[in-house]
Amino acid sequence: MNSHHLLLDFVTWFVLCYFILLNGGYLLLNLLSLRTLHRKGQEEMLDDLPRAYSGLEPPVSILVPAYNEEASIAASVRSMLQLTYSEYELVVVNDGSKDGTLDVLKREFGLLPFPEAYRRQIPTKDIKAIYRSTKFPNLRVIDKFNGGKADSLNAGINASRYPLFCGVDADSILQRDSLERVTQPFLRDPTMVATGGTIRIANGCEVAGGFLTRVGLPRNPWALFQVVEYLRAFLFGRLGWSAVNGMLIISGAFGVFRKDAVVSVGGYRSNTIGEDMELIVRLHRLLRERRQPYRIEFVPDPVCWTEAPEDLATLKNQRIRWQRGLAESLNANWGLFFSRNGGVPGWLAFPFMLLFEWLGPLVEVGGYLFMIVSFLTGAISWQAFSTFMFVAIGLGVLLSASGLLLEEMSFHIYPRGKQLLALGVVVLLENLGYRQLNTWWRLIGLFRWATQKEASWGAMKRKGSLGA
Amino acid sequence: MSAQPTVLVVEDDVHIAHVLTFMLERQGYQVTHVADGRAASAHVIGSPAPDLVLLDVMLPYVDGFEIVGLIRAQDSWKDTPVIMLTAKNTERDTVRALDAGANDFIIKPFQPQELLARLRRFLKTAA
Amino acid sequence: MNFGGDPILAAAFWTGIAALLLTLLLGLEILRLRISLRARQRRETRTLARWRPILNAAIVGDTPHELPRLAASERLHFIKLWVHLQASLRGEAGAALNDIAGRLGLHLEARAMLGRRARTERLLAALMLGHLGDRQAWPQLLRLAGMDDPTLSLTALWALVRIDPQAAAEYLTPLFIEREDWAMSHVAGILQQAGTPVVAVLAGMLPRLRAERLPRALRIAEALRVELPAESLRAALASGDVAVVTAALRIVNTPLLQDAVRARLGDEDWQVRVQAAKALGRIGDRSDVDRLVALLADREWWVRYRAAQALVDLPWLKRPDLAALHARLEDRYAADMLAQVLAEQDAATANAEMETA
Repeated sequence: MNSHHLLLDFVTWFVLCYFILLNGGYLLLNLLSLRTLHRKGQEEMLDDLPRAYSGLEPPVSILVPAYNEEASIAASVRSMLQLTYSEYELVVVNDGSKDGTLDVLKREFGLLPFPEAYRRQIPTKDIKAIYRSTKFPNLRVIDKFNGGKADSLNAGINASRYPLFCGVDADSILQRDSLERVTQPFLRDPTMVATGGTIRIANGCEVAGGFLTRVGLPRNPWALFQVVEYLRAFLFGRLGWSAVNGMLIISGAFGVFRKDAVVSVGGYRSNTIGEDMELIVRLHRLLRERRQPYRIEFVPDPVCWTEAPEDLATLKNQRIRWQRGLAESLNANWGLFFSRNGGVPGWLAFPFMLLFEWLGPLVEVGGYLFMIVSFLTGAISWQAFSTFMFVAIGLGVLLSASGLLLEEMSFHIYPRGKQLLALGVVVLLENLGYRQLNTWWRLIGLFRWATQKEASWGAMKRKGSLGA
Repeated sequence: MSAQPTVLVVEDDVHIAHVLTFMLERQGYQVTHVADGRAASAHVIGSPAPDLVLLDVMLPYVDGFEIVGLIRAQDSWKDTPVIMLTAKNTERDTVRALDAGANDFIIKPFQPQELLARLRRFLKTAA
Repeated sequence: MNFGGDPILAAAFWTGIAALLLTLLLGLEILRLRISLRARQRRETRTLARWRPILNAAIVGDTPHELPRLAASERLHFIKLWVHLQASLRGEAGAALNDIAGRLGLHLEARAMLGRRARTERLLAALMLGHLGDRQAWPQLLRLAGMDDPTLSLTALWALVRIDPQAAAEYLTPLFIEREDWAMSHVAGILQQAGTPVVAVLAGMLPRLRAERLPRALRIAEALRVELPAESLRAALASGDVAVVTAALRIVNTPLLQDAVRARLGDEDWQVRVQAAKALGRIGDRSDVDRLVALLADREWWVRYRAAQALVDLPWLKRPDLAALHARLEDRYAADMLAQVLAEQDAATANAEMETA
């Protein structure tokens, strides 16, 4: 009987500690991001001043992989052609779409085939043809056999002309100054190798002609939860890591990279689900191995908007896919873990991801189950159970609230008081079920990865908001 | 019936827009201000032509060159003088402005008195 | 709550209480921030409504005789509007705005703001003093220019150049050559404003520079489109340092240096060959056609590309000549590249025709 009690005590203690460390870790990251945000806020004054280009900003090749995007590709490309940047080219990669994507592009932009001497720096699936637009001289379209997003990006890299490239999703909604903002770190620091832009939720916002005209909150509860979740976990957490050069993820929806650095590590890996994260972790690993000075930063300004899933099934599939991507990215780059020259990525970020993101779902779901079952069978007292729930949910609410505070301190993009109130309510509700559901999905993702099951991507039901 | 010359100002920078409106109204012109490319397109299609159009190149949603093209394509707006405001470092833009169908261009940062003088030239010939 | 003497649970419980209290505090802070944001926005609207008509009147040459007093709460908003207008206008309008700033005593205020710790205030003050051309602020701005913070120092430098381009050029040019971490686009933007004094300073510095500083200096010369004397470039072209050679090749623009450039066409480093090909396109003569054709078969894509472009841009090679050249090419890579560049030129001429139509 005694050892039984000891075991129960130990597990209880372990679970409590884990939850406190998990939330504490994220709180610390949010704290770290404060300094960067404070500085950003002070520069806000200069933003509105009329800008003059010296014409010497580093030119950028924007790569847009497109698969079955006939409904929205024309509006997206048009909006990307309107970015305010001194010199850039747009390379759309048609990844063997089965629908009319290429036809729409040919029609809307006057595409003509072009005899281009294609350069195979990174191996990809074969290219069918390269087109150039007669209406917009800086637009090219690559038509190739289907190979997935990573493969398309690699093909885009092969065809790109400029030293920097920007990977964008075909359905990302950008602002006119997005490219300017996300390339700023490259001007500030010559060792910059990659920068990522903040992804915000476009649901509930007014979108016209591919641009965001007015910010709003979604009505759909799933989307609302995601708004707060993004603030809690994906925004300021990443900014915190960025402050110590330990950022392991740049979203594929919008990021800028130095081409030769990416080519030197082999380009994107094509048989991975989370190719965006895998590339960044690999960059950390290999550049650290080579002892090459570099920086990877995060730009906190709201520069990219994306439509979040609004139904249970699509959201679930997305989260399962993300967890698998995370697991694959970490698994492919064990060399970074506690490596000799690992620095912050190897000694702090990687273990953190491993413990709290990769293993996390297992411990969290296990912890909840353990507590509930133990309580129901009378193995632990009411006090223990209620304390656990209090701490778990309380810390979660604190973390969500800190995300909202940082948002209010920095960009405060939701101007109306009612919106702020709604977000406050969601901060509470998010931790009473949504976050736990998310953890459950991530556990499924972990399980699937471990058993290497083939998962379907789940085509998201698109509302066609970009068609306006 | 006093024919107050009407001017359409298409400018997204709120401070410059205020300056332009103030300057022009003081000269006795009737000013309509539109703040972005989409609103400008709608206005060109749906409203009668003014006596002059003052148009910025860098506009949200639809840029100034496309607007000029739209203006020249509308029958009632075909002969309306269009003056474009272009930024200093882009020499290509000034050539593009004239090629696209604009009558004159003014480089930013601009001199208010010079702007008024150029405007008066086109409004005098229109009258 | 009785924990049965279990310290772990007690600790956990108090952690939960702490979390709850902190959350409430955060909630209050969020509210406070939102309220102060609203207040700031209201103040800004009021300031603009009050001062915009006055500034607008000044801009058109109609400065009012009596100016209202500028309240402390209005100050930053006013300066922001003022700087924005100054950046958008020039000529008499700018002078009128300076006059108003003087009458309101803002030149004194701006000098004081430079010394304060708030970054926003320092940035706005530097911009204002630059527009005002306030010489007295020179030492303070110089101090700011030397700071580590890039935004702050570059803004201060811009102001220094506005106030006194000659003196600024003498200080700035060596500084920009030293500070390699500052992006060329910022540096060039500021130096362009400084104008001709920079050229003289640069040309004077070049012979005395250490080898590792040369590439940067040459890049600056390229950005400012400075014509450097052929002799100083000749030495750079013969250097063993790849960075120096490529930087020099980029600005070569005189046929006097043809031999020096030709000597680098066979260099082992592909970046040198690329720049040599481009340079030869600019300054080469008829005997160089064969040399460029040889480069079309280079193993590096970029060398082939630039060599093809150089060939296509040569003024004495017309379309039929280029087509005949293309037909004679045996190397597949060379033929592909020339075809691509010819197609690019066709597309460019088609575009140009469309725009003038």
